[in-house]
Amino acid sequence: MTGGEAPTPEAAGPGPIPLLEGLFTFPVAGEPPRLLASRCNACGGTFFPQRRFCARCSSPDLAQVLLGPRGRLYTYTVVYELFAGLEGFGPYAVGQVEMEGDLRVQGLLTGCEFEELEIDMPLELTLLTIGADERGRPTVTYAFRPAPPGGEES
Amino acid sequence: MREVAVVGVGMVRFDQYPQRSITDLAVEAVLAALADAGLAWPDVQAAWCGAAGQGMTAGTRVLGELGLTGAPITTVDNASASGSTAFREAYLSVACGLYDIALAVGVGRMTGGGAAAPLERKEILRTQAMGFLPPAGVFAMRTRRRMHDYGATIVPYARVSVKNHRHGALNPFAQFQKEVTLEEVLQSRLVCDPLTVLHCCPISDGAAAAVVASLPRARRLDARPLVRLAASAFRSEVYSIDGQLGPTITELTARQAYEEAGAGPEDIHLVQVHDAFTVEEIDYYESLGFCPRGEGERLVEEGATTIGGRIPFNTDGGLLARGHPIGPTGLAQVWETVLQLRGRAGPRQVEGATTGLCQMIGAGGVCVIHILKR
Repeated sequence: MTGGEAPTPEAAGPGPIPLLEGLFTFPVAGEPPRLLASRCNACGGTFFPQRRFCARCSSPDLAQVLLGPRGRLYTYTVVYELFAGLEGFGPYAVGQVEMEGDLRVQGLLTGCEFEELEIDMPLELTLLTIGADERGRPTVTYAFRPAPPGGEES
Repeated sequence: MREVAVVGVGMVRFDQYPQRSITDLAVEAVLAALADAGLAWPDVQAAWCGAAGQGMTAGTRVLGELGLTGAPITTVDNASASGSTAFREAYLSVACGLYDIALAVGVGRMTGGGAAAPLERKEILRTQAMGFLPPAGVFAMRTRRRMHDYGATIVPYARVSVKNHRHGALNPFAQFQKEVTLEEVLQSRLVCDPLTVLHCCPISDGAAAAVVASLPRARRLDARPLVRLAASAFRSEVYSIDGQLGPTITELTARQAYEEAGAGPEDIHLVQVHDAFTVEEIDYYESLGFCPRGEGERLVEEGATTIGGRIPFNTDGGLLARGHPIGPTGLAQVWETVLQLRGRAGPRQVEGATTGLCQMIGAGGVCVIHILKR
């Protein structure tokens, strides 16, 4: 993760830590989290998660960009048959979310009942605690929740 | 490039064999393929072994059991497309004139978590951070989107499962040889909404093998109608918004295969595809050119893709009923296609079939398509 645009959890104070570095920013001062993506300076392609080389044209000239916080639900599922070790997690919803830059981001869906999920519904990024590390700090990842209608996709 | 024929095929019925080793399974399939070709293991000049997540050098370990002949053996891991890739390599080695007789074998023991190869810690965390999605989830999302785009219910996808189980019931080498009803598919256990367990392929063990030979050598060996390779096309992922398991990769590989064969979908009499999940078969009706995009659901509803229909798909039961031990699955497709083109497929024979197509995709982003012709 490069400095400046993407506050580290240390900068945001003690507490939760990202499950994996380099995927999203931690919100500061009430700001929504953003996704850390790559944009190719040669062909304009946008990719999440970040890449070292462009998937479309192989250029190494990629810049880190922030995506979100809003998107639109492209499709979704509710996972009932859980991976070994996740039995306590309960059924959970996962979606593909269309975001600016012509890409679909896969992530957990939260903040509504499964029955309320609907293709094309507006969503916004949030953070979700999904476990804890060996020191007991909550580990968080990005997720999408229903957004109030009317906002711009950004 | 020289012309190449498939002179022998063999397989072990796909099933769950927790007590059998991969060597035991592979040897049975290879011996069956060699017997079918009228050859012995020392006649094989080179071999490729498709094995997904079966440990280091699976090929030399399992084939060494048959005798240490010195023939070069290569292990191929391309996930579900491992066996198809091994078959292509064996074909190419003969087509290029390096060898006259080559063998491809695929083997997989998936009971006991065989496919769960250790991922790097960072990959595991990334999978978790991006939503812990099992393979069924990827295709559940594709199903959900197709239902939205084309105004479909879950029924046409369930009909793919009903059809392929009906085909499997006619195949003594299928894992499931029992028909299922539409109601049973719809009411079976929910795995990833909207897919129930009967929309998903089972966990399987098994092996399959094929022997290929140059045409002059094949003519001396084989008095039966010769089954030749008309095309062998292979693509890795080309960037697309649909991702590596979307239909685009099949469309691009099919274009290459049809061009190489000098044929089009109208020339194909039967098709085997990677139906690990029901929606895939419907996607591939379209990607392979058998109907326009958005009309796949109608094709299965009309019965066009059942044995006796316009273009039968997955005549051996497909991954859904014949089973899917990953490594050998592409070679089971070759086994079925060769039997069909020889006119020896028994109760599931497609009348008058002279040209068959086999398609496999593999996670990580590959697609392999072969066209076989009598």
